[in-house]
Amino acid sequence: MLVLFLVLMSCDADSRNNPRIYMEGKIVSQSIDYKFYMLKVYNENRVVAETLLENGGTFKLSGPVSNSVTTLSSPEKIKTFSADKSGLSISSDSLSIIIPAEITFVKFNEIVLKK
Amino acid sequence: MKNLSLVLLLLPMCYLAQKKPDVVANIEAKMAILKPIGNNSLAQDLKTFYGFSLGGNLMTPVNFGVGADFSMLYSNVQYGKRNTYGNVGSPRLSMVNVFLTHRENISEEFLIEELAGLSYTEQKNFFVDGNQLLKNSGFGLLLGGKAIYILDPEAYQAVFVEARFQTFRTNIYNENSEIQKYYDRSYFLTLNLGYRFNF
Repeated sequence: MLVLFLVLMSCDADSRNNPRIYMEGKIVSQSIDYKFYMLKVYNENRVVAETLLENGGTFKLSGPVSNSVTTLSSPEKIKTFSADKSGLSISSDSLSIIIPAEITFVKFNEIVLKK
Repeated sequence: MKNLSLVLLLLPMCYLAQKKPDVVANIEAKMAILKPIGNNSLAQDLKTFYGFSLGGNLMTPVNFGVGADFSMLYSNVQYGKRNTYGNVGSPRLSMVNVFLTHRENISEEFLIEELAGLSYTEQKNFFVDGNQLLKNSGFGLLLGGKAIYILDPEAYQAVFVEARFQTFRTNIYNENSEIQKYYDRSYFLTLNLGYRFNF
């Protein structure tokens, strides 16, 4: 039983079966109302996390993802952003930020909207 | 450790050597309240879990025994914590525990049992857009104690209160180790109220 126990305890130590994304940051805009502005995180065509902005436009989001691209989707078009990771890009319609699969933790310094 | 090896030696001896039915068995049904504690997602983002549990024990004449049980527990996400818990449905825990027990007879109708063992926990959530299941599972340690009150003179029926502490470690991955720690482990305190039938 002791041996069985040691085997069981050691087998789930370094598995990447269930990746989870975590991001936090700040939306900067001249005109939007932060209280009614909803950000959504998409992974495999599914909303895995969503939130309304806090006072000052800050947000925290986390949700379960698979090993594929994740997008942070915004209702208004994004002009620029800065983050602590490289490899992120704005989608062609400017409505989302594309996060590569290998990135599971992002801090956005700011996300500036066109509006 | 010495005690444990003693138990491991004694248990088979008790089963094999004694043909007389001195090994007694019982089954239990329990109501369970489970509170995750610590700075982790299960404790910070979720409400208290409520559920039920079914189990059984075998007890030898030397007051050492083995037991197992199965629990189902249900909870909800706390208001305002959906952004960090994720866009998934209400969580459910399924748990299988196996443990060694030791009994102390305090009086004719009152006993104490301590238990130590292993637990296997599955944390399940449905994704909100469909019926696909998100499943995180892991093993943990289990420690507990039971206060048992025997109801009838033949000692068939008993009621008990049980407190448990257990650890839970699963396989959620995040590249930031602080975030991974927040999501991939927890500690559970459980209070069970139960009914036991001896036979």
